[in-house]
Amino acid sequence: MPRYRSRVARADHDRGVRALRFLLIALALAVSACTQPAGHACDVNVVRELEFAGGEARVRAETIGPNCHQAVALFTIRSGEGDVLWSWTAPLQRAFGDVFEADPDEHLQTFLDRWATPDIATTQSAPEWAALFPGQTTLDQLTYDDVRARDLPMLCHYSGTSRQTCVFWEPIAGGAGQLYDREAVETEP
Amino acid sequence: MRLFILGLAALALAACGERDAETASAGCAREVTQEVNWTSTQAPDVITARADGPTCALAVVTFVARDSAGNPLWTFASTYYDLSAGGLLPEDYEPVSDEQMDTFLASWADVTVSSSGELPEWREGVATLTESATTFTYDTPFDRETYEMLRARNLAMICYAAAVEATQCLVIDPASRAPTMIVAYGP
Repeated sequence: MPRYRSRVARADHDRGVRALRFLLIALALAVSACTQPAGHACDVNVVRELEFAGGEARVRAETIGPNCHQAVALFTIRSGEGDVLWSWTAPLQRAFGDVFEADPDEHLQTFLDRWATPDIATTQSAPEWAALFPGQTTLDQLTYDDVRARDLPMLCHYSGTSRQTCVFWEPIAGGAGQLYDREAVETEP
Repeated sequence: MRLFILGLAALALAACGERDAETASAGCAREVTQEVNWTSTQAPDVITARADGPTCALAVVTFVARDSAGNPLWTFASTYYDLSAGGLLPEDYEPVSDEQMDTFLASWADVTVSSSGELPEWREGVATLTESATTFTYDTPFDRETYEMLRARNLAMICYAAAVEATQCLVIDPASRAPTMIVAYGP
């Protein structure tokens, strides 16, 4: 005879074990069905407000990933009303090097603070068409010259360790577009 | 015990909305993942389509392809509105529900693998790929020789929506082993 006797009186009376199992399965399903992103170790962002496109704008520089070695970088500009004016993304390591994994606390915050501080200028400071290298702009000469001549608001953000992408604001269309890429220009934040 | 489990379930579901302080207050933080055998037939890559914004109508949406080890291969960002309707958000835009966003993200992430050999031929003597194609307008960053080499190798290719009427197709460059866009096409 077993020393301990089951307190379950009948085989179909499990004192709620099955119900408990059901609840646990339901819990697992509920969590797995959730489509909202889970928090990751390298989900970090810096938001900064600035003047662009004739009004208040908000820059958000962020990294998203399970770790900083495998994170993606996302740069977004929104208008004061929340409309997305510009977005840019790349694998973090491919664009900005592999310096974040070793000491993400130190490097990542410094990087995001700097990244969220783009250079503000106007399109006349962009080089003349003749001075561009092949592939530096995706615009044709007519459009490039026109945008440059109209001296529109321009913002340049890092898109690589030594490269910046310059975005112009087109007030007629109410949108932003990429003007050209350039070697990074260090300016005081 | 049941009450405890139910409480845990409620907390777990509530935690779905928490990512960081800014996103939790953002209002639209949605994500869908989809496995696809693109870079390897042994271990699936993972496509993540994600939305972030103060509302779903104002969301930035990102498309990220990662290999089976989690390394990001390709990223793309746009807006929900540009991908679903095209262009800039009008002042009288319709609100977008979480369910609508989830449907969109699931559809966006649901890429299928095809072959670069299925792309149109860039015939010799024709100046551009799009002049050589008979259906859509095609654009490629490669010269004819490289494009035809990549096409002839029947590389595994995935294509995703890059605008309401534009698609971009990716292959793994056999020389660099890095993902590269082989064509963008649209009407």
